[in-house]
Amino acid sequence: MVPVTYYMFISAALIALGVYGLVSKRNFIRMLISIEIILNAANLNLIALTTYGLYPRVGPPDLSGHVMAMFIIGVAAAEAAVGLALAVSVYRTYRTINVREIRKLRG
Amino acid sequence: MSLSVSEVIFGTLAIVTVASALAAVESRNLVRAATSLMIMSISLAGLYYLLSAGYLSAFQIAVYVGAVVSLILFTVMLFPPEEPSGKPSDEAAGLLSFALILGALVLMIVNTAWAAAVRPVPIDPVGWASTISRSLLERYTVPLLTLALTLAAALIGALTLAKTERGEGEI
Repeated sequence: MVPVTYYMFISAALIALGVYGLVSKRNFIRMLISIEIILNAANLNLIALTTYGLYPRVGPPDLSGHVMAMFIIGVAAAEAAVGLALAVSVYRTYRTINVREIRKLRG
Repeated sequence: MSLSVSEVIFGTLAIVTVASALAAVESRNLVRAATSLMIMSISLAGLYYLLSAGYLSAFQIAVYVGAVVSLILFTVMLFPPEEPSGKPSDEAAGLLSFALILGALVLMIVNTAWAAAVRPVPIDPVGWASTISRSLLERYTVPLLTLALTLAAALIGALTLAKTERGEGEI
C-alpha cells in the first residue's frame, strides 16, 4: 500500500491551489471552481484517513469518514447549483461577474 | 527499485489530479477550466478506488462529472468570455496564501508519525457499500434526511434565483 502521507500531500496541494484561486481570481465562476477543488481536497483526506484506520476507534471498524465524504459531495452539488444561479442573477443585474465591480452592498 | 502496479497507477493519478487542478485554477478559458475540473474529478475517483472506496468513487463520478461540471459548462456559455483580470496585488496575495498553507500543511504532515498509527480497515471488494448503506440508514438517518431537504431547498432556490420574469432582461 502507498504510504498515507502521499495522499495527504496531494490533498495539501489541492487545498493550497484552491485557496490560491479563491484569493487571486476575480471571476465568480472561477471562484466557485476553486471552492469545489477545496471540498474535493477535504474529501480525499477523509477517505484516505478512514481507509488507513487513522481515527479513534474502539469497536469494529466504522466508516464514518466515508459517510461524511458522501455528505460533502452532496452539499457541494447543492452549493454549485445555488452559486451558479446567483452568478446568472448577478449578471442579469450588473452585466458583469467580476466580483470587484459588484460593490453595491460594500460599504 | 521496482514499482508495483498500484504504485505506478497512484503516481499517474496523483500527477493528473494536481496538474488538472492547477489548470482549472489558472487556464485563461473558463470552458477549459471546467473541463480540467472534470478531469480532476475523474482522477480523484480513481484515487478513491485505489483507497478501496469503490462506492464513493462511483458517487463522485455521478455527482461531479455528471452534475456539477455540466452545470458549470452550461452556465459558462451564458456569459461573455472572461476578460483578463487580476491585479498584481491580488496575484501576490494568492501566491502568499498558497505558500503559507502548503508550507504549514507539509510541515504538519512530515512532523507527525502517521505510519506508526496506521491500522488499515479490512478490504471489501464492493467498496463497503453495505456497511455505508447500513450506517446511512441507522446511525446517520437524520443527517441523510437533512441532506435531502437541503438539496431540494437549494434546487428550488436556484430555480427561483435564475428565473426570468416575462419581458425582463434576457441573457
